[in-house]
Amino acid sequence: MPITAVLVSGIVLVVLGGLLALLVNPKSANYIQACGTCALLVAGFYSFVATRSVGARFTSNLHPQVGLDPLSGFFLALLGIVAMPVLVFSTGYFDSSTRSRLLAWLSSLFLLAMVLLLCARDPTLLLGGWEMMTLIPAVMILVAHPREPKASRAVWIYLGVTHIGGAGTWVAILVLAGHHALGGPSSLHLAYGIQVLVCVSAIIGLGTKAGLMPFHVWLPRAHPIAPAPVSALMSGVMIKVSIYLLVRILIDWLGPVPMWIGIIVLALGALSAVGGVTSAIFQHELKRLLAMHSIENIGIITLALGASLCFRAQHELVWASIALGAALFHSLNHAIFKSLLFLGSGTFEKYLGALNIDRMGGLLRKLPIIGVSFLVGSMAIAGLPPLNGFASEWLTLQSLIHVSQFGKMGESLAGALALVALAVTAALAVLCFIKVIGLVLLGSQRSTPYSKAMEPTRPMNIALAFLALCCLVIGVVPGLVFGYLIHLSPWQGSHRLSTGLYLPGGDSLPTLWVTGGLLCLVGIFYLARGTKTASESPTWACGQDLSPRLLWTSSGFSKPLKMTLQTLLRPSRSINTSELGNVVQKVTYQSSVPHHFESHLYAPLHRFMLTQAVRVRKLQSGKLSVYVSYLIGLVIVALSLIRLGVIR
Amino acid sequence: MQGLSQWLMLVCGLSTVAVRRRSLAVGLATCQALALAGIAIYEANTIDESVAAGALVVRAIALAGLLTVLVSRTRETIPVRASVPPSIRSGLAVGLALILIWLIPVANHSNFDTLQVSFGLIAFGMVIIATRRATLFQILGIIFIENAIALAALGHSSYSSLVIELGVTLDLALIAMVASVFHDRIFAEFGTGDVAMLSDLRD
Repeated sequence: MPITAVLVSGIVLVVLGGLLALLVNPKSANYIQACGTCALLVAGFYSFVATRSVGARFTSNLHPQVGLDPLSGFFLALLGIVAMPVLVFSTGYFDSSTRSRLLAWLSSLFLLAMVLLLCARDPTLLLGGWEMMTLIPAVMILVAHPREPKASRAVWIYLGVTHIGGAGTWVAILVLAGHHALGGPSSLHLAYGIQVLVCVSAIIGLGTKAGLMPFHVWLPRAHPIAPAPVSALMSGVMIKVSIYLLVRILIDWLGPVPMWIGIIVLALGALSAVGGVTSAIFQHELKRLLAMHSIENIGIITLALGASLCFRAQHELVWASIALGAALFHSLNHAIFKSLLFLGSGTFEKYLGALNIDRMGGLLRKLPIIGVSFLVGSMAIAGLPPLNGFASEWLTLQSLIHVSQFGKMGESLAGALALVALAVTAALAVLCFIKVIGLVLLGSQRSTPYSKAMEPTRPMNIALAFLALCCLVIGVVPGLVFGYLIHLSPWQGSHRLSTGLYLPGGDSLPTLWVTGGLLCLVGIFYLARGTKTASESPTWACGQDLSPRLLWTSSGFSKPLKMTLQTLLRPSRSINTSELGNVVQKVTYQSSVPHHFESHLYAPLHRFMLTQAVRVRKLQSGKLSVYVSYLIGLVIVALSLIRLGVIR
Repeated sequence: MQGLSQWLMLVCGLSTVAVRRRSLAVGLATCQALALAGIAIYEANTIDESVAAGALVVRAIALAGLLTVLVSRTRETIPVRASVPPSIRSGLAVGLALILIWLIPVANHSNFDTLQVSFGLIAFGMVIIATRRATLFQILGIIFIENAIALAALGHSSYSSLVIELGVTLDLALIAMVASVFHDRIFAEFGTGDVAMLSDLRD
């Protein structure tokens, strides 16, 4: 069956599923949509692996054109591999209420918007898909949380920030189209100023949507508040589609860019990675913590992308391919484990009725399949072998090591600093997920009794197990994916196809051996344990009853780090004591780590904009005659500019 | 014939800037719309262009009917005073028209005279909207600007006039209807068609 037929049938099934959601049970509609995304996965995977292109090529004309090439095929496959389990999970997660029907229909629109963007081959469809992809999740959040001020505010900030920042995307695409450089050979001959304008606009516009620091303020608000399947799609796929466009513009269309652009991308990546993971450690709400980790992982992807740009500027094309492959590989891996973690957190929320980490505990025993899958996802995001996150982070690390080896003094220093940032990020991510695993999955039941509002259903278990299996398989044989990713670079890199990762210069990661070694180690420990079992005895708590209040909390776990980074983070805390007759009745303790970008960058900017708005408002007199006078002035100015030859 | 009609349109426009009575202004606007239709009929060579000219005639009559009904439905007890005296209004209109005509790019215009008349009419329409407080005059200002656009389109030979005329006719009919409804509502609310009363509604 030709690839086009599979692609079209996938789109038709997603559309059909969306329509059926409005008419019949949303459960069957979600299954039909899942079948559609499976077809999209097949079409995208085939185009990616077989390096086949179908449909139109990119054009700068404004006539709608669609097509698929290996790069968009890879991201289509990424969409399919995430959306399929998410939709299967949705069958158990959502009920059959009108709201759920509406959400199922909107999820089909959301998927179609992302497919449209990936298959668009002209500026109109590209920007149309981009806007739809921004607006539909906002509607989904509002539908899921009607008349909730917190949700409305999150959506308001999401739309405001992504539209202001997203203007950069419009500028980049339209400037490229205006110079007939959208995928055309003339892109290589763009003037330096135009190239810089496109690069900076693309980094701001697409970086905002991807959640890159310091443009990330919308992400920690919008992702946690959405229903778990929507969060999984937003964090797993939507922000990767921004990475797709960033790769298209910076790597595919612009040709070699100046070295300083690569260094700026590296710096933004380092800031996002370290800033994201540091903020994540101090979060007490599970979905917000995961949203912060999205910022961290976008930072890691951007680090690899920046390394690729630096290598290309240095004409080190072999390593440029490897770094680009690392960026794309981590995009895939993050999509898989992040959607797994969001779906897992959604299950915990349904089961417990809360997402506060301090109220969780012992979920591995209560929900074994979900718990084990969540454990695998946590280990993958923490970059532990033999899982997929480790493989792509290892590739990024190797790329950054070589950036610092190849370049001049300044470039080497930038590479070395980026390397340090990645190492710090990896270490802090491990620390953060030790906290998550320890407080959420292990231990005993905490303060809130389990409401058991909803036991996870079989489709929910299957969806999470599938994603966990993907983490494991890709982690064990990463070379089978990475070998194809290398070919996606426009300068045709090459890499031998094998199960492990083998790089030029002898650096290698024989993942099968590593996995075998780990299994042997586990086996040895298991055998060494013998038949002895630990005798049960009550935990000593200084003579008190052992209550959940004495257990480790999220704040307690992260406090040593908070104290170490006190100068940088400037945490705030307040202790309120209420007394009655010199006897303390109640002590309340609150601590928080402020968001410095918000208080030092966005808040002053916000105040400045409001002050200017008050001044500009004086122009709005409310008198029609004044408005017509403005119009007359505008006509005279326009005609004068034409007369002077400024406008032709 | 064409030059005479264009002069007639300008005279009607400038007179509307100066006149006080609403019924007289409606008569002048109708006269201008019919002069425009006359130009279209005179220049019609094909069936499409004849249909387009017919559309302009229908538009002129329909607008005249609509505005007359509007005037009769909303009788002002005390006429709304314009914010600027007639002599200054006329001076402003002529001055703005001259500035706009002077600023028109000269190159590549086969029908430069028509374009000058169009810009003159646009200037008159804008001055009417800017200086008159009665809502009906605001509608007339919009109609003058639309007439100017239609006249410019007639002078442009490379496009099918049928499409332009039908589009302009529909556009203007909608604008005039909406504006008339607003005028009616404003009159019902405040007892006068004075737009100055609306400035308090801003906040």
